Amino acid sequence: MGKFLQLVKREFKNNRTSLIIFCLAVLGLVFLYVAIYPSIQKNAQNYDQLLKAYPKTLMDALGIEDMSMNTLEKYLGMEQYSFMWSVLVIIFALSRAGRSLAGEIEKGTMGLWLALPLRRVTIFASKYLAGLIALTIFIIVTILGTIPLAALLHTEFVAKAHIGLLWPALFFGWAIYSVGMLFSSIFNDRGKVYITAGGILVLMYVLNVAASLKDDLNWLKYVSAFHYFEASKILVHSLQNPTTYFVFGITIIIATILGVFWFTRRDVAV
Amino acid sequence: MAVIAVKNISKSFGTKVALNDISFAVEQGKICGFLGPNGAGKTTTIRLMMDFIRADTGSISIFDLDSRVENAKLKKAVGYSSSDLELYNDWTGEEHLAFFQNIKGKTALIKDLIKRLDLDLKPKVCQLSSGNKQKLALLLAFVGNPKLLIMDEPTRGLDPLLQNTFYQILREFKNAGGTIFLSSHNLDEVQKICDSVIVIREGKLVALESMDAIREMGVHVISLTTIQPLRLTDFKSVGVKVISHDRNTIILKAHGDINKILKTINHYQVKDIEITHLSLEEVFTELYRG
Repeated sequence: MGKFLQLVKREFKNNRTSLIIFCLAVLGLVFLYVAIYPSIQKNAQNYDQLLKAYPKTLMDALGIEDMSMNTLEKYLGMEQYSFMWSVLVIIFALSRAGRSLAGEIEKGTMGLWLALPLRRVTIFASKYLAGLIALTIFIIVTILGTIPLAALLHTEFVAKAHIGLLWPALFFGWAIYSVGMLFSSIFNDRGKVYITAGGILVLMYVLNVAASLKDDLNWLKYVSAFHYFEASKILVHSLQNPTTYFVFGITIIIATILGVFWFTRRDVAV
Repeated sequence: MAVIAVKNISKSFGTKVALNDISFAVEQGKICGFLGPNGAGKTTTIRLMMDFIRADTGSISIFDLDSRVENAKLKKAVGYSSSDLELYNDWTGEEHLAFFQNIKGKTALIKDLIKRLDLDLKPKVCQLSSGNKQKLALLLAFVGNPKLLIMDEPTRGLDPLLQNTFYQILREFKNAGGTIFLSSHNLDEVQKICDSVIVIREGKLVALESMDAIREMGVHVISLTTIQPLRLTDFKSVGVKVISHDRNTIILKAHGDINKILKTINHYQVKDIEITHLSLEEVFTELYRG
């Protein structure tokens, strides 16, 4: 166990700079959102009128449930969590997953790991866990970071709403990361991981948007990950949907098992 | 006792056959050179031994452990180094060493090796020359008191002085009971340190001999000039290879016993004859070419 934790620690240390940069960048973005919120709140009625003029289908497509800016949570639900935050989590999760196996094979450094008396499953697990820890830190910092920033800027907030978003967000990020690790187990270079996993997610996003545009396409939303993680709804209404945990949980389990299966059986020509 | 036993290994990459039914064994306490031209299958064989890749058929056992099933266990006693081994550019040599020592355990020998290889572990790998990177990769192979070293062109990139130091280190390792399996293109290196050689070509084993047997491998080159015209069929019938010929002169290459060809030559009136042996390097070249 001690050796396994050493591997996790080493792997985590290897990629900590990118974690710090990502966290600081997103916190900077949140800071900007929160900092300009008071001026938006002053004109909330005007903005609300403007938003009501937007087509409902467009708002549905963007996952914006309550078209108002009269609370920080509704405002962040529209600005931060309707699209931007999901994209940042996807980028972070896929870049971590892509680097950990396919990236090491691409660079040739996987040879160092394979030269050691380590089972392939141990290599996979240590890299998986290190990435998952980094992802968890990223999600906690970027979601809960709003609370101290809002307090610092004397902006009203509902702490419970942000805390309530944490678990669904973790499951969403973890599922994306697990799918990324599956592709990282299969491919020999990071580019293919990003293109394949990213392509699937873009397709899912399009399907989710398409589902909201026409009633007879409504069923398409069930094949999209974005349907099961509607951050705005969770943030504004504190709605927890058990389906979110079920779908992402199943995705995590299947993708991880397939990833281990593939990585322990594949050729690694380094 | 065979430390490495390779049995009927075949491996293909798509339609390309990289190894075709290879079998050999390496005895304990020996240095075995693994030779072959580029693309012959040397690195593929080593990757199979290290379980980086998996064979289509056949099996490899190291210390009587299946290299596929008990790979993590057997690697405790195996040191691996390759001239293609990539290190982490943003780690120092010390970090690499600590990473290996955490998993394989510390070795008293390492301090001495660092000194003998004149290696500075403080700089990051990206600041090291290719030779120093190679030295670090070699050092890592000795972490954890290995009993077998598997090395893919270990001295590529080392200067001649360091090569000699490294040969001495390998000899000492062998004298302490260790076994070394070493692929190389450097024939001089193989002659200097190896006890036996395995030669592969196009994925097939073409020779598995002790160095003494290789040295004694009688390949004669016979230059013959006769007074009467030569008949080519006389020479082909005794199983020698005709290198070149004209009306009265012929150059032949004969393997092993040359009595038959001498009897044939005896039928002619000889004007001039010269019989020479191939050098060790020429023997290897012969084996390479087939």
